[in-house]
Amino acid sequence: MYPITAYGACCGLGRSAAEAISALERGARGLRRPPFEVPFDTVSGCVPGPLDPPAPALLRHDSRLTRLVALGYADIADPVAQAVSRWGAARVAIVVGTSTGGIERTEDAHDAWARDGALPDGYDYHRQHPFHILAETVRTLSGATGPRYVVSTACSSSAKVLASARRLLDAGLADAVLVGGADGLCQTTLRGFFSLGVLAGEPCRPFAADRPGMNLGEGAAFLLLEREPSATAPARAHLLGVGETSDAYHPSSPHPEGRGAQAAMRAALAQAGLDPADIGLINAHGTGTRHNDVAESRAIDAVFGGSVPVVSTKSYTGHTLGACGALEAIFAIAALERGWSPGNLDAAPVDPDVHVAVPEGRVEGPFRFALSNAFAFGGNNTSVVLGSAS
Amino acid sequence: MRPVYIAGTGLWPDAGPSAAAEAVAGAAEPRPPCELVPSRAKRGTSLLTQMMVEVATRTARAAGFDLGTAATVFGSSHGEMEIAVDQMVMMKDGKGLLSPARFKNSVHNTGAGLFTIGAGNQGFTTAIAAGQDTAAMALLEGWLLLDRGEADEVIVTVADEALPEPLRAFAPHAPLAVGVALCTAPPSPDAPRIARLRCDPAAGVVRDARFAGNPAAGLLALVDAVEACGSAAPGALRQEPRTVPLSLDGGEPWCVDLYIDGAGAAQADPPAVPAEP
Repeated sequence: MYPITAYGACCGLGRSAAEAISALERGARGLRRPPFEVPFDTVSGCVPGPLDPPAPALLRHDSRLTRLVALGYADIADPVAQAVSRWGAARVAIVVGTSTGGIERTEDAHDAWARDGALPDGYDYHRQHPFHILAETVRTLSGATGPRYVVSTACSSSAKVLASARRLLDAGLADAVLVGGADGLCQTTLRGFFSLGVLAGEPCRPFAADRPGMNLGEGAAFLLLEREPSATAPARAHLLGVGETSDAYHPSSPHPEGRGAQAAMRAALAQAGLDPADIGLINAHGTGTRHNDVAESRAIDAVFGGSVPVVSTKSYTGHTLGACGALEAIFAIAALERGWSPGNLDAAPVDPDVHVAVPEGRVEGPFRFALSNAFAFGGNNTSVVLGSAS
Repeated sequence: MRPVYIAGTGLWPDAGPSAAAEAVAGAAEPRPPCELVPSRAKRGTSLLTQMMVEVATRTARAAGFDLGTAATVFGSSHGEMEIAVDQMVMMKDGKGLLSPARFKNSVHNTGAGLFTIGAGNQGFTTAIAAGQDTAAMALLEGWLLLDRGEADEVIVTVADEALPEPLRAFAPHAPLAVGVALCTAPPSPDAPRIARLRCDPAAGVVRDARFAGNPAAGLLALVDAVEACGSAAPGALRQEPRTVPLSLDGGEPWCVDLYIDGAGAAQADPPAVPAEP
């Protein structure tokens, strides 16, 4: 069990975690037109307001991803600086997740190459595109010099980083770990999910009977885990357990009964030393596709029964892919801290094949323990159990 | 972290008694056979994914690990760039849409997913990227699973292929996939074991002319060192650990100490070595 002493984020709901949580409380959707042209109608959880060029030290790494990371990191910069000072830079590790890295820079460069026959000036694959640029960017921003790497298991990436952090702390390789995830909107994922036939032209409605599919989102979300809290860095919540399993079933469809999802939730509970009845709130993966929603609800029903409230915050943010594990862990922590959770948006009438509680409107706590799910292509399942600080 | 044993290794292009020579000689091999997965499931997958699945399978078999239960860690610096760039070409054709078969195989954990599907493995898998430190950080993630008792057998596989045009000049290296099978219990009395994963500038960096900067060469350095120690005369190279660098130029100076000293016979549970860094 490790304390989470700080978090910060940007997403379609706001430019900071506080802005996003305030928007959740108002029931506001963060979905709008994508920031570039795509050959179909859709709405996406784009970060509101301008994404400014990064600081001079990061200019050569400039991409939509880097800009989102800089904005999200600014929201946690002070507590991280305090942790680096408290533990020493070499004792602060960085484990972050992304699905597509800085691919949008290469998409633009490829367009230019197809048009002009040459890659554009300023394009540098090594500094702008690869996954590890996310970790390098966070290192530059934080000054932390401990072990650093990227986990990229698509939509479970930034949930798995919480498990990696726990192992690093357990093994004594770090005294603090900055974890998180980031993905920017790009042509590849928007067109890819459209081509799979699951991208909605209107706002998504996870668990609803006549749901239109999913929306994409973007964002950057970070959490700081420390070996011990301090007077100036008290615990805001505790990481209690993470379950990581595989469906061993299909590259892009979940097992129909959520076999691997059940195992991940049970493993997370076992690591936390909790029973299913202890969990007061579930932040579902809840993408809004029929395949996911039905399989996930069956898995939840098998482990928890049908009474625990299940909420998908993707109806507010869209699916932020490599950022969703960390972002939704933050939303689950906010629910533990504040004693309420936002409900599902427009989930009624609920899909008759969904037999769990998917409340609309604010869900009143208090909650002592919450579980957050993140599932991915490849049948990669991660469940995270979080406990309130009190 | 406690020391862990290397129970087996795997390579593609093909390995032999001398990994280096065989790997280069085998470079003409067009695609790994990748028999673990049915050909239908392989459709639309990249050379990278096929290399990863092949080498994870070879490594597990060399170690005598159960494919259905061993934990797996896959590392790649560049990932599925063959498919990523292919999709950028598709965006400029017709309606500008993508192939669903390609898109679902475009994620960094495609190899991890396909391996678990082919092996019927419902356990732990992950996909790591860390630039020039990819081999070291994939090894770290696998080692941590053993150290924390979350797995008894871990297969760590790292792989990268050259970037496609128009990016080839950024990474033109030959394709390479390397695997090591790690476990906590000594698989044989003189099994090699590794200890003290750490950053040490004195350890140097991996300079592998054969693969010209392929980040997977970091793990090949360890496989080569295991071979070199294993083929030495009995008693030679066996008392002192050998420090093996794992990262390429431009990364952190990650390295590991390799022991082949027969300690496995005497000590089922070798003494703990202080964790660094």
